[in-house]
Amino acid sequence: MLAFLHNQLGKFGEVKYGEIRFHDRKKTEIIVRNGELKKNSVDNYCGIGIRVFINCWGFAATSSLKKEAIEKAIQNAITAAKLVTKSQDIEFAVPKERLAKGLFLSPPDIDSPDISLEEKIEIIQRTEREVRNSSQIRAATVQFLEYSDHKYILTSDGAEAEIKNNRVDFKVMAVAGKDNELMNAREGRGISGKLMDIFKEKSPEEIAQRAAKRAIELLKAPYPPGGEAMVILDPSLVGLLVHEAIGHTVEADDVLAGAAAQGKINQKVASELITLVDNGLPPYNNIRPAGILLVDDEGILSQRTVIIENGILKSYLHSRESAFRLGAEPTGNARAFEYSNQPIIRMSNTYVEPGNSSFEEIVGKTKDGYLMKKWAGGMADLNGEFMFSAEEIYKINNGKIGELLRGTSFSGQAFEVLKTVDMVSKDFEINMGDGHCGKFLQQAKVDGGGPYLLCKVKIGGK
Amino acid sequence: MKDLLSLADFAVKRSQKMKADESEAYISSGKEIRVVIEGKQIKSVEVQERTGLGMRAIKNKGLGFASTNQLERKKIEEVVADSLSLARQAIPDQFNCFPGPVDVLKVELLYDKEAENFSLDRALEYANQMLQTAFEFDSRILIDKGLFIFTNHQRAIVNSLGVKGAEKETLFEYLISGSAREGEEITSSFYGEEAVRFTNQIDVEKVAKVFAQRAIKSLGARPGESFLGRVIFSPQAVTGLLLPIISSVLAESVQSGISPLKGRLGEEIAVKSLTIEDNGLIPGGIGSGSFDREGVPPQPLYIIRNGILSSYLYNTHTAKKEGRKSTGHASGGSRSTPAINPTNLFVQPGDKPYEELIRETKKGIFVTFLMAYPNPVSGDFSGAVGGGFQIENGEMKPINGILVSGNIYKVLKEISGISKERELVLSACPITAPYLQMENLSIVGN
Repeated sequence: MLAFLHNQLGKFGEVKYGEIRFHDRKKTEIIVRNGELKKNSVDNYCGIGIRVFINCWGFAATSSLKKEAIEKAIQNAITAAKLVTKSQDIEFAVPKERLAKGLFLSPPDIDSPDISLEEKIEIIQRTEREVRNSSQIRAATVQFLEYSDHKYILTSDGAEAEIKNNRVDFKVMAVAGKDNELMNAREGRGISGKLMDIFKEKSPEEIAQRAAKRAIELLKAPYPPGGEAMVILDPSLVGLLVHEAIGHTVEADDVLAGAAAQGKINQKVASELITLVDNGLPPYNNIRPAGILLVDDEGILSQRTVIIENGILKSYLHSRESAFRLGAEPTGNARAFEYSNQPIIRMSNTYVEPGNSSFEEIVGKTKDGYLMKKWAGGMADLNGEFMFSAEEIYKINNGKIGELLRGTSFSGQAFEVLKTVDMVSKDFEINMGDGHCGKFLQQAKVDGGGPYLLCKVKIGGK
Repeated sequence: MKDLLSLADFAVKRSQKMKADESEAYISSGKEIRVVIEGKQIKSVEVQERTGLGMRAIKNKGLGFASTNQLERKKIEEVVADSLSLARQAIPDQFNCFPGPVDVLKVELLYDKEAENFSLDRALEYANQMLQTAFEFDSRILIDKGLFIFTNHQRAIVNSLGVKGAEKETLFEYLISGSAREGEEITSSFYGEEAVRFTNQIDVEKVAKVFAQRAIKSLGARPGESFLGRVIFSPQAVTGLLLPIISSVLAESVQSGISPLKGRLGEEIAVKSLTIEDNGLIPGGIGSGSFDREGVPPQPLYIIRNGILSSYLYNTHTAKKEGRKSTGHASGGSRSTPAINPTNLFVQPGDKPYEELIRETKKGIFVTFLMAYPNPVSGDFSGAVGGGFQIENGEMKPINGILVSGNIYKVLKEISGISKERELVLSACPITAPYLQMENLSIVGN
């Protein structure tokens, strides 16, 4: 295949830059709800995406792997790239050592044997039964999603990589009910690896029980009052905050469009306790977050990019094009979800590095505030304003964790919030890998997290 | 289309030959042109052809699904075999079945024959025109992204019970998004978007102006204050509140117990003035089609009529469970099993112009966009407002930094005004919505 694609690359002619991406994806999905198998499906999605830069980007994709179909796609991409008549002054030169060559596997043991589909169905079924083990549970859903990817990426400047990825999501939803009122709770995990890797930390039964227990507890919980408050954000909410409200504003395409981080390189944008990175490589031993990306879809090797260092904004996240436009080096963040998508600037694993305080110390120093746990969705704007939901909230009085309150949303301006950070914990997790990040009609598997942070936000309670 | 039907037929026959109890093949094929705007310029021009086959098989009441985007005979045979082997491994479910044949009336105005020759050049021209219009509108406009997409798409469905259907459609979608900047102030993001089926309906200038107007109008915002009272939601914001309610009338949510609207048909759940219809047979509708993902024609129905919960939406599986017929709301494409979704939603308009609603408001908030994640299960929502305005004695002043919270099921009874004007909002599904005025909402500001 590689030799065949290499040969096709020779047909590009005069281009400033060109790439061929072959991507064969197998997506497996199993959903069990209230004892019924709701989904039991396998989707095969395979093809070649061709992208060239002449006067603008031209992109064409084909699901047919026949030589004629690929040649037609190359011609289509070239025609499209010449449509804009004004030529742009742009260079795609990158240091040779940043170009990916060879075989890349994530996880490294990707070729080790996996359990069968029947066994997977059995585990999902068992977990779902466990959720419904209490009379107060009205409904339960357990969902398994797996992406098995095989890719080749070849570029006109010499990148030639073969990549194999495996990513899995395991999600549990419990719905508890009393009279007409319902309350739900979620537990989920998404990693680079296989289904059984998820259960190395917690068994399926344990995950099921946590979701069920919380849904029941939340049903009885009162609403928190609204207003400004000191809060301790858990790692999943820190992950959500730095991904949605900071991360997107440092993606260089959005920087060029006027996002909040524009023109702020080397300026203080957060408390000096904050060091924020985006890292496509496995960040720490034995952690295999869902956003691992050894090579990006422009054939650039992944790296650990320091976005904020001790409160100072140090770098944006780049593709080849944005790096040229802003006079930087590509950071390996150009990603395409499937062969038929163009690579755009995306995050990988985005997290705040751990600090020096213990979680207990942080709680102890909080006189009047809240502990916010478990992300439950949210959105942010390019001006850094965000609105996130936490599923479980605890009142903190005089350094003691008190009663459980119902989940609600909280909001603020992300950079302002990061300036209010007083304490950062040693305790650290990357755990928001279940689900997808959407940008510009395209999905991506990403992950994020960090330590516990003490900061100030606005709570939208009742 | 003949090709698609014969391929689908081939797949179904093959599946039957391999001893499936019931078989279904859904095939789609299409061409797409896409022009992407980024910042101040055309970023890329894209052209691609897409195909897909989604194969469902039932064996001993177990259901399996497999799909491929490669329509060569060999691949089709593999997918047929995979779907059957998945069906054999599945947990049996007595309600697994496919629909039988029904009369299908062709929905008009879904296909523009003239668009068959729609070229890359023209797509680029429209994208440029949208970009220029937004720029020339005001120098303070910042453009983030823009898109112009043309799709020429066809789909076919065949099942072993005799369902057979094929349909073609064309669609032009375009949108532009960004904000406005003055000095240090950057507004939140705004967008303008539209979708039409015919070349002669394309109006990119309108969309660019709507976007630019929204952004410019919200410049000069001051921090909003907390209060409890009246909120007027734009059609875009209304959509964010109504869609979670709609997700609770999908038979899947109702039957699985996650819908608070379970067992409440015939109950008054909203003010009398609220009526929401679903109609998938509207000629030219963006969500229209002669048949659904399973080959069943969508049945027009009232979801809420004069405040009363009137109907749930069904596909074949959920309908079978209640011993009834599908309402024709099976949704999805070739890459997944049929889900349930609305087609075109219509919220009945009121009798007052929305400007009158504003003029008659002594104190309140106007919301252009609501960044909220209403929880469809509990109904609780709390969202940040984009394009917020303080209304005082009928005058609007831009504000920022406010959150609106409440419960989507409870606010249905707090509607105190519905505008005469409606707009088509392209959210998860197309919804034609008016401005809604609601009381007793809690606003958190400074």
